[in-house]
Amino acid sequence: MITFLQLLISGLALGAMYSLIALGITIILQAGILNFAQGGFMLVGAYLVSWLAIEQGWNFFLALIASLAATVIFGMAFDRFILSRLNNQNQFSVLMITFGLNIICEIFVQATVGTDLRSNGDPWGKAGFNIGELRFNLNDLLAIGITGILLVIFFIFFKISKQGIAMRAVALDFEAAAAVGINVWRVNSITWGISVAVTTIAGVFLAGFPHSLEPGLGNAAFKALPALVLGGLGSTTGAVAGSLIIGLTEVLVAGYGETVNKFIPIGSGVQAVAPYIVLLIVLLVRPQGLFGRKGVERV
Amino acid sequence: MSKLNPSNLKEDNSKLSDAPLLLVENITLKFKGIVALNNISFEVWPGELFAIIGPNGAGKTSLFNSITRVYQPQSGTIQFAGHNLLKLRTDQLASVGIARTFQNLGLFPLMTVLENLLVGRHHLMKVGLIPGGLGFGPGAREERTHRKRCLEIAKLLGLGPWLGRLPRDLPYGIQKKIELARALLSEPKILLLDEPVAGMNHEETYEIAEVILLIQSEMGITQILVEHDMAMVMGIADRIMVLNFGQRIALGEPAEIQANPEVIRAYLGQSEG
Repeated sequence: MITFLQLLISGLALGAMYSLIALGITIILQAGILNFAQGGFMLVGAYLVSWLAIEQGWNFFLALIASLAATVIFGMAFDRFILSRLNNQNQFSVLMITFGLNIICEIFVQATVGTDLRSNGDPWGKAGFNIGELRFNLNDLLAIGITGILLVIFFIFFKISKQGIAMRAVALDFEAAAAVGINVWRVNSITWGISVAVTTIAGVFLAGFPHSLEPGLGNAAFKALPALVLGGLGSTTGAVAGSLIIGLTEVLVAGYGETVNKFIPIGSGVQAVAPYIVLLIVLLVRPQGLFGRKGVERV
Repeated sequence: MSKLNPSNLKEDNSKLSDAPLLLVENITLKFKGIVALNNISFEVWPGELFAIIGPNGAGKTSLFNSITRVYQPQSGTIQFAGHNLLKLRTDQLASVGIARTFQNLGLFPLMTVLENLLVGRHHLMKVGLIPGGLGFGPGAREERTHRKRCLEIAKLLGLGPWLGRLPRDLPYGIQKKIELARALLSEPKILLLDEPVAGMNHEETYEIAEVILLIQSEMGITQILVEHDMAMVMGIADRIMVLNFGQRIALGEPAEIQANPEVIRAYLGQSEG
């Protein structure tokens, strides 16, 4: 029971981190772009925080705010000066450009900071406390708490603010949105800004205890992809739900893998494929994903 | 919030009635050597229901897209209520008083009908947060005003029963009315309708024609109607401009247009070919 609860906490924390990334990918996806550079943004953001906090000796929170500002500007500029120029005319070109940016970000980090494991620069490290036999890591609790707060803010913004409604309108039909007076460029900038900001925050938590910062961090963004499909592509609620399921699956399978192995030889490292098995099962029952809508089409 | 009262709009219009609301002069639009619009000029008066017709490829849509700032004409001017339209972006048109509907419907299919209507108020919203049904907060008063206006227009167009539904679950005729309602909710001085009855049956066409006349008589809003359906246009428009191959071949009242030999030739020639 203790093991299960312990795994539940780590699983929820991991799911929370994934859900920020998945949300970031989803809101850009709603604007018609599958952004493969999400992991790249996350990597650059997390390394910037770490570099400012450790090499430059900045206060961690100051470093976080500065990095958020820098990556948000980076994301907005990428949308405004590169992607907007393509005018969404060729989906494949857009896809390849985001893919290329992802590689550039990864190489840039490796070339400037190196490939060694390093601290993400957070002041809490492996701090935590015990309740009975149950261990609570501060990094996990903060990830769950901050994600919860961010999600509440996001959904309020998305559902009832003027800019949030404008975001949804642009995602559904940008021509019609422009016709009712919505500045599509500005809305896209806001979308990219939010997306990159939440992803950077996820990156910092992902590189926290018990993990470290390393150039492979960006791959976590690819783990958010099955979460998106599982939750229903394009649904923000689905992105969050799918991420929690994937996070829990990964951690529970990793935790119980050895026990299961005694009875059924599933081998080690099954947690890497477990999310896809869950995905397959869900899609067999609900092809549109948990919160996806059937037959959404753009006229 | 005098803007919210339709009777005030009528007064605005009467003040302007000695000058055209929309003045298009010598517009020429070319695509890689093909002349889509050749030196087109016309004016639309306040309160008028002005129709633009012509066979396929006549330049109706090109003209519509030039006014709605999708295309940039190579020469000519478009003046609207003191604004040089050619200097504005599409998303700036709502705030100068131009609203439009789309030929293939420009609704937001996954937002409720009421949300679709509220989006029409986008450029009129000052407070960023709309507190939903909470009924408090800085935007509550403003939101009540916007919602009230949405309900008024919805009632006028008979959309009351559908407000909580998703547009994509509703019949085409209703969807068209939602789009019209959303356009009206931006409190426009002029409403541009791109083939509003395209693909509609006789009954739906009749209903939309009634709504267009209602908008003119009840709200006093100027309308430009780009249309294929000759019978409908002849029945409701105050004046008609006929385009063919990017040229203006006629401009006048329905009776004059019907008797114009060049118009008859353009239309018959097309249907025979």
